[in-house]
Amino acid sequence: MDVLLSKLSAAGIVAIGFGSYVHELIPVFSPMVYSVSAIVLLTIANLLGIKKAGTVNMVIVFVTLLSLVYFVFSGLGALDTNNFTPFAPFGVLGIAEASAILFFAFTGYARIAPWPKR
Amino acid sequence: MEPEKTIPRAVIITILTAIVVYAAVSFVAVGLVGADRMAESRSPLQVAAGTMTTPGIGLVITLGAATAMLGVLLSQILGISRMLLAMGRRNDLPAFFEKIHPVTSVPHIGIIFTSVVILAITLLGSFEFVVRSATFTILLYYSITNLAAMKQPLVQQLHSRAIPWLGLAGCLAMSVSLPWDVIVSGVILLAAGFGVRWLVKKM
Repeated sequence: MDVLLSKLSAAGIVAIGFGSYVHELIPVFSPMVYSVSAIVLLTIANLLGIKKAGTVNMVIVFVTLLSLVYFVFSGLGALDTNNFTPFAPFGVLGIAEASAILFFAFTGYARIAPWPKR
Repeated sequence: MEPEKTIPRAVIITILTAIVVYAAVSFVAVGLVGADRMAESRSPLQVAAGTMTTPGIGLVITLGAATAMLGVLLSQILGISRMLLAMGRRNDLPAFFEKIHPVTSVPHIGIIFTSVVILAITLLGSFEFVVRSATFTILLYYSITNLAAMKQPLVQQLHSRAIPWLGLAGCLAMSVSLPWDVIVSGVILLAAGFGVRWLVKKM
């Protein structure tokens, strides 16, 4: 029941996040228009059957991965090793807390804080 | 099509890919702008991308962020609707959630219900309380998954029994390292959830 509630809230938050990112790219409509359209379209994709939803998911994941790979290769040449010290300044506890928050990110919730308010 | 082979393989490939991608992205982002500047920002990857000179990098990162959100949204609608189905079957929720569409074989009632709630949360805003406690409840949920894996008959277990034990230890260690207010709100939410379940069962 609680996980249900958490997941539903998270879904609402990623919908808002999506809206604000698309608004950054195409500032034609308000972010909420993009959020609501995304929910409606993905609902239809889900209603059409698991195969269709799977195909849509493949395309989405492919674009996300491609953008991250581009990010990694764009940055590799300009790394500054000074940025890696101090390494893990908060010790094991810091790593544990960061992991817990990242765990949340794994299900996509991390975007709660980072979505840009513009 | 053999699910007993393809699912474990898919899980392992997914986890390994995620580890490599997460590690590479964090390595590059920290190496470029440092952890402090990333911590100050609400969109740390955009900050890191801001220092890059490759064409269209800002656009690509924003597009990637948008599709990442979209992917989570798609899989949440998919996952939550199946959770409602399972809860309907176990009488934790009303039985109409069990219905499967005769043509598309999806739990359409659950999908529509999920989407309506997500729409409402998106338009009206979420309860901050729920969001704050979500990290804790999710970790608890994965702890239960590990417990369930331990209880599985030995013949059904694909890997060593050490894996769920390690998983459980990891989840518990992470959950106790969370800020105390997150833990408290998680416990209150859990109590409320059990209350609702008790009410549904009574009806």
